[in-house]
Amino acid sequence: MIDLTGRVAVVVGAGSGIGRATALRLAALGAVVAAADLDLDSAAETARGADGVRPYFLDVTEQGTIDEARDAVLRDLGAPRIVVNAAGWDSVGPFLDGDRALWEKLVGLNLVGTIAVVRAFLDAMIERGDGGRVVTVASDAGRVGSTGETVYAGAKGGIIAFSKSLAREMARHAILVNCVCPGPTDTPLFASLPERTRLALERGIPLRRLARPEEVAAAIAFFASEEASFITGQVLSVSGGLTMHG
Amino acid sequence: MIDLTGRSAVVLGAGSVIGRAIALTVAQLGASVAAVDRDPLAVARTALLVEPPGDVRDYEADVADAAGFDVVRREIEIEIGVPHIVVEVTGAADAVTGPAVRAFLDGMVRRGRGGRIVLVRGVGAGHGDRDAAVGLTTSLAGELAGDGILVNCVCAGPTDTPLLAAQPRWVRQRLEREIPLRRLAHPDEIAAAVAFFASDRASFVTGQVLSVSGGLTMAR
Ligand SMILES: NC(=O)c1ccc[n+]([C@@H]2O[C@H](COP(=O)([O-])OP(=O)(O)OC[C@H]3O[C@@H](n4cnc5c(N)ncnc54)[C@H](O)[C@@H]3O)[C@@H](O)[C@H]2O)c1
Repeated sequence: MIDLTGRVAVVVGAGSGIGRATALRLAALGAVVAAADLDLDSAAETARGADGVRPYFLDVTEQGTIDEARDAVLRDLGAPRIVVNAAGWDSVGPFLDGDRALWEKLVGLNLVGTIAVVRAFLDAMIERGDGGRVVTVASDAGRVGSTGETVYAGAKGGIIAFSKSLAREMARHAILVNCVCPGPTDTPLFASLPERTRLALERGIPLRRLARPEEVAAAIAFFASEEASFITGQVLSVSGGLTMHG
Repeated sequence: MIDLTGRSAVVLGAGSVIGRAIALTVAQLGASVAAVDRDPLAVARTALLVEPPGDVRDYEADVADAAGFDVVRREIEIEIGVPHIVVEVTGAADAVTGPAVRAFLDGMVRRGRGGRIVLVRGVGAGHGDRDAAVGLTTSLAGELAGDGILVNCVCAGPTDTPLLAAQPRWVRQRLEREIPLRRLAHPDEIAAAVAFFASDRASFVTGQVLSVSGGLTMAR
């Protein structure tokens, strides 16, 4: 039913966790996937996992590398139909202990990184003229807040509002923009959190387990598919009921 | 990719255009479907429209008539089994549809293998529909998470149905101008979101409300 045969998809942050699962899922549905990551080796590892996946180097905090990766993707694969940014980073701790360097890293990587990646591919998508899909990855922290993740949550909330506004501006180009909010997900990023935080988060999930990266990827793939042809500006949590609402 | 083979599904309100699209989509993905509506002719038409080998059976029942509904519920459970999926698209008030949905829960909980409930609502003027939908969806989702029954809601924006076609032309034109995608939804587009929530693809999604509205509504 969901069939992406021949579609070009860019997945940033494809070297690990949710981004890797997304790249593999889109490839399994038939898409040709540019798997971009700061860690080129891990992106290459992702690419070995499926046919039709190519690795690219891209640091969402370095505009030059975004432009270079964009040019390479357009040259190698053509204009994408689907752009997903799953690159993200978190550092948990009391807000009062953080400093400006940390805030700037959190906001720069998560929020400005998303903005820059999406911006880079829009011209080519608009020019081709047959619409497209942008899927951003925020977090339940960005919807309801999260202790110890205050600035991260602010950046993720920014991604949500950015996605909705971009959905409005891009509607006339038939480019649909939606946002997936993972809850605690079994990835290296989650494993990097302090044990106390991990246990507290897991206990709060009504389904009493973590998400598998594949479960988050499935929602991203849904938004990327024809099945979601009338859905734009929406936010969907994949969090086992940790936060509820729409 | 979405495969519902071997599942049984109940669609309440399957005589409406959106309910029909949902029943037919879910059947096409392999589920056995009990299509229920208080309008026997409308729901019979839904059952007639299914393409083989799809399995859609029609049942006449009114969700507002608790006793009568219970008879039909038992009939359904005998014929297609305790449902794995219950979709509610009757448009009736939550106070009325809530008990009808709950009527299937005993069997689902007892079977112990989880399940899916998908409520379908409008985006509503002033979004009142949506707020009510959030209430019922999240309370059911919280109650049923322990049993592995996931509850989500699809809010349909203005959809191309006979109801809308019967309105004066300016009504439709004004709606189209307000919708960022500049068109109405097709009933199949609502059904696709329901099918996603009903599928294995949505195994960690519960208590969520997703608008299929072409960007008309972007709540929270
Ligand atoms: N894992 C969770 O519990 C969870 C919860 C909510 C939200 N999220 C979000 O989901 C997204 C993916 O998270 P994950 O758990 O898969 O993380 P992960 O750490 O497993 O993967 C993130 C990937 O992004 C890449 N990356 C990091 N910085 C980058 C940069 N500057 N440029 C390009 N690539 C970069 C990393 O190399 C890595 O491959 C993130 O946005 C994260 O905030 C995760």
